[in-house]
Amino acid sequence: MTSRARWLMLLGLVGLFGGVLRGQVLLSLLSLSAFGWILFEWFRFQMRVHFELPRLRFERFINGRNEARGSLWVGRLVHIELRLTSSVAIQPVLQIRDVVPEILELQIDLEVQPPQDSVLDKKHRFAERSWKRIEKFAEPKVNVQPPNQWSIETACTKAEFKYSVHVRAAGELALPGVRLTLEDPFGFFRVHRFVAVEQRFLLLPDYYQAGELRPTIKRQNSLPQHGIHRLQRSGTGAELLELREYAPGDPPKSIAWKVSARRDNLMTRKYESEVPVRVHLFVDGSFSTRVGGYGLRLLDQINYVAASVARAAISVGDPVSGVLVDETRVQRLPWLAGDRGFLQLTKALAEFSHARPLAAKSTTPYLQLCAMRVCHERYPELLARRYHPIPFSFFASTRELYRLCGVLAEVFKLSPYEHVELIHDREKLGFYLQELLHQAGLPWMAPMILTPPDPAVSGAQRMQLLGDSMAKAIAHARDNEVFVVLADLLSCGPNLSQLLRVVKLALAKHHRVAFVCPTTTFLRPTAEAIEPKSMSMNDLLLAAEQVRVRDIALLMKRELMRLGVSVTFSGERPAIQMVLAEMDLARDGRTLLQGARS
Amino acid sequence: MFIELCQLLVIGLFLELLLFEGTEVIWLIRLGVIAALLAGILKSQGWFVLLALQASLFLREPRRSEMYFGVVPVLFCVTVLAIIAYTYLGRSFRMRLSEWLVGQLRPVFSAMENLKRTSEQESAETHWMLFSGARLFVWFVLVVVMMILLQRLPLTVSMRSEWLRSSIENDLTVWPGASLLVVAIMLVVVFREMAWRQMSAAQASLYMKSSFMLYHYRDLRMIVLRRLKLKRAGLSTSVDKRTLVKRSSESEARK
Repeated sequence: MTSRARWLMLLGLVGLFGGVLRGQVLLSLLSLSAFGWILFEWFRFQMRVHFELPRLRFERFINGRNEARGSLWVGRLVHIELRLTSSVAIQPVLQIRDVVPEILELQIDLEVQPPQDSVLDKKHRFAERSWKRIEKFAEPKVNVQPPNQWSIETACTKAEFKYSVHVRAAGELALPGVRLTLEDPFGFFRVHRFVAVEQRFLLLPDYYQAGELRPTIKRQNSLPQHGIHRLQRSGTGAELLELREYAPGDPPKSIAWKVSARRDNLMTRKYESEVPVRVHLFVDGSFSTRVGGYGLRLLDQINYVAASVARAAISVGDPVSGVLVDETRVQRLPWLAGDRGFLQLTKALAEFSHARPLAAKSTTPYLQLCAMRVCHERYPELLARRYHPIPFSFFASTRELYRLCGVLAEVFKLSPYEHVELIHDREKLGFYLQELLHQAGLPWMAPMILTPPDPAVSGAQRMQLLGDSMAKAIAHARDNEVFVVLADLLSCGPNLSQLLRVVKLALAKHHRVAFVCPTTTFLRPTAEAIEPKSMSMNDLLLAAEQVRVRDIALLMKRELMRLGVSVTFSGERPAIQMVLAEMDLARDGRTLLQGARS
Repeated sequence: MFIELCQLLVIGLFLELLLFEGTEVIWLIRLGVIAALLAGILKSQGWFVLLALQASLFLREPRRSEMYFGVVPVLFCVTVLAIIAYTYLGRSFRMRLSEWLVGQLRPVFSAMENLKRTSEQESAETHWMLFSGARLFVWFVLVVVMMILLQRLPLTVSMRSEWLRSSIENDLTVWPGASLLVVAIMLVVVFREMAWRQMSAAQASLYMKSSFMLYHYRDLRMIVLRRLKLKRAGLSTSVDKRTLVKRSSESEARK
């Protein structure tokens, strides 16, 4: 019952009482009629709740298919269609909202109406302005209707709703269902329900399709046994593929002297690459790479670069392997080739991107508030007081906590003992609240993250894990291998020495190593980036962050470049180009980066 | 816009008639009250209208010892309920009503023929107009029922004596309260039963769990708080498999 109905009932009762006492016929009749009207509406509303709502059936189609499981690509437009059917006529007003997790971006159309004053004459304009003022007084709030929300305002038995979303980041998507709000036309009564229409999707990372892949014909693309080399060095195949201009770093023996003399320009022979260049991707999925909104995390940039490099390598027949590292585990992927291999890799990246955060040690009021909002959205029927008896308390906040714990106990199927434990143990409550928010698809941001790990400890741990993984990969490596480390090195600069030993080993074994370190601001640490655009707080903070990043980046770059390793502090196309250039070098057998793609 | 303004003017006129008919209130106060009520209507505050009319009736309606009803009170009540409903239906209804009125007036004014409406708009307007008609009928029936109820209930002295006499003569209950109570309890039982039967599996499970927890809350709380206290003090309290094995081996050793 809403406040409208409560006020009317109260006035009806008071008026009836006064009218009967004073013997005022019309007052009594009017008050009793108002009271009776509310009762009639209540009865009608109850009938609708009990007979109309259970008969509603929903079906959701994603890109024209209604399968319960599937996969979607990041960055692409997804068309969603929701179909509603009922065996009885659906009476207005019924509000329907398809619950969309944060990993999907709704396409909200904010159309601005052009002013039409010029058409109107002065008198008309005055009248228009006056009416606008009255309208503004009557309805001051102008709400933009989200595309995933609709209202049924005429009786019908079936309806279709369509909207589009963008996928923001790789991971897992769970579309839980539809939230319904049933109201009577006068707004006296309102009830919320949630109808489960569950569909799960794996969100595969987006990739950049490199346009100019160099011609590489491979008649034999198989790796010889360990220690057996088909050719003396990589890139010098038996069959000539093409002639191109000389670039610094090309071996002198590959120069076509006769052709160079004819053209008066040094030309180099390029041979068929008969040896596959194996690419190792080391993906860092530690805490610092996962924090932030979907699509803006470092891990999203890492996934993009990893998927793009894998696509480019697989498309020319080079196998790709992956090592996915976070604080707790190291997941090693087998050698993958072909389209199926690429799909396996992207699936592994998507599953790796969907991890639950570090367990919270306690809870905060904000965390509880957010969890309560999620409960109101997804479990409105469990919050109904009639079905949810709670211990007595004078304080509203305590009663709210009891209610929240009850819903958690039901959702996670806890025993009554665990239910009481939830009420009194903050650590346990924090854990389950976090789990609830994680299931609801909230990103690793406040309030889900309460205690970030110590950067020094986690940095050392991460470098240790990465170093060990690389060392294992080097131990099993053959010729012409490229090691691509996609990690947030900026947050663990002091611990880089642990990794450098392994990098030196890789270089000593004639492998290529490339470091891709994405930054949070998507800006390269250049001199221009550190100048604040204005004196506003945000710009100053951004500039300060750029200065910090630039200093660390320069130091790190100097140290790595000294060893002969390629480094980029970007998670976008330049990083992909750099890795592809390294692969070219490994394929050609050249030693310098100049002349390679950049 | 113009038609919405006209609607409000008509409502204002009705309110003026309902509130100040037969009174000698100066026009400035009348205008002020009507303006305030219209503002309440624009803000969808229907209780404001009901309160004003109740206050007006409370102050100016003469006291009577007998309940007497006619057509005028019925029309009065239906009009008031319609105004309150109009207020709560909000701006969307006002716009629909305007569109419907324009649609009705189209044949009369040829200048308005260029206003074309879609079939969806037309069906929505038809639905809302049917809804309005049905509601008017419902209110009419409701007011008549309430009127009969008021006449039947022993509210005045004469009615009470009449009830007493008829009750003694018919050998029925002296006071209708008992019958009313039975009907009320029956209705409550029916609706509660309906509500329980519509409960979902999750709601039933939650109810069972919460009720159990509520009955044993004090005991469970005592155990939980004790264990938490020991846990904070650094002692393990969990009864896991190892502890159970250890305990059983110890008890066997003692034997």
